[in-house]
Amino acid sequence: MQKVSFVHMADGTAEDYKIIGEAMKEANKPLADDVLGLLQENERIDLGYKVTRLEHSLQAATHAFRDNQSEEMVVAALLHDVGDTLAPFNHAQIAAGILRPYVSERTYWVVLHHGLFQTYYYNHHFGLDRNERDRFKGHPHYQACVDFCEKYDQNAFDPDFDTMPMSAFEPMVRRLFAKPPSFDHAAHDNAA
Amino acid sequence: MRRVGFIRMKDGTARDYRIIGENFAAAELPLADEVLEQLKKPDHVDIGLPIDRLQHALQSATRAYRAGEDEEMVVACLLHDVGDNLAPWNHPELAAAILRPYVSERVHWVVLHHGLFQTHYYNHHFGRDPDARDIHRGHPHYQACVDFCENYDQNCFDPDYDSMPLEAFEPMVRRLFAKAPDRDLAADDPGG
Repeated sequence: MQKVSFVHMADGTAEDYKIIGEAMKEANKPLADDVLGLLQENERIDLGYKVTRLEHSLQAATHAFRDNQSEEMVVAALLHDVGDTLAPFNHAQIAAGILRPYVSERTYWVVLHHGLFQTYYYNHHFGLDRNERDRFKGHPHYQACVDFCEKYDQNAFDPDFDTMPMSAFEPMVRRLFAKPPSFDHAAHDNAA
Repeated sequence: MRRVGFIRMKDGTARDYRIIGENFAAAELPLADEVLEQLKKPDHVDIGLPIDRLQHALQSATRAYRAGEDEEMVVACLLHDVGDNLAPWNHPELAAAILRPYVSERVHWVVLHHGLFQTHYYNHHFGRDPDARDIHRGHPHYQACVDFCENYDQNCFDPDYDSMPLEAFEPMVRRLFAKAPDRDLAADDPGG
């Protein structure tokens, strides 16, 4: 591996950054393995649901698959809770961040907001407003997020559902993360 | 552990959600451990930098510490690249999401935008605009992010710098993630 010459990025030359740019072409190769590994780590969390976090994820993906959703949305359903161990209070932001360069703006938006939209099913039990999601009413992806929560997330806690195994989804995950990353929206903030 | 009765969240009762709430409160989520584990993961891709990401993170945190920054900013420096394996193209989103419930809005903003602001040091080598960060000029945290990049990021690739060891920062990480999370902020959009 060629090394850059700088110790301060401010001193980097065009040659240095060519080295980095070339190496970055390999950057998403191990990504699918890492993401699948992180998904497995969700098994550490047991909050008293009838299914484990991983079963919930597989069930959500199965619902999406049988509902003839695009492969991108099926993978998004599989991974929608993937950040739970790293961000227990705002996991949707982790899952959305991981998916962002590889999915449409619509799928990104749905995953990013599903945490808030899910509160529709329980906020009233805590004396909170179950319609908090309505602050996004009129947004072009509002209904897609409502549907995601209703059809693939809130109903994916059934221990007797015939959920498809991880091996059925793994090739889809690998295909998604093998795509060239899109910078159109990912890069509005950062390409580094 | 007490378990809920529902297989669909829409059928959950107040009692069910009380159980989840109590389990969640009792879970002692090992967040600091998870984050430190991520930080220690070896780089997937050697992009030719003089030191690896963990050494870079330690150097960044050490510089912030020696400059008299508060503990929150020191930890933010340590963790500013923590999502790199999982989001090689947009890692600041992950680092910012992990920190978000535990840090000020200012520190969150700085971490979220540091990727874009870092392009100041290399964009011109790729024929792109080195002042891309200026879309945020006038923002109350613009200068804080400029300073972060200049003082604690772009200059933290020096193999001869005497960085403090990870053990020096571990108690700070544990204190930060032991704080009561700010959920109001967490439920919101990622910003940016």
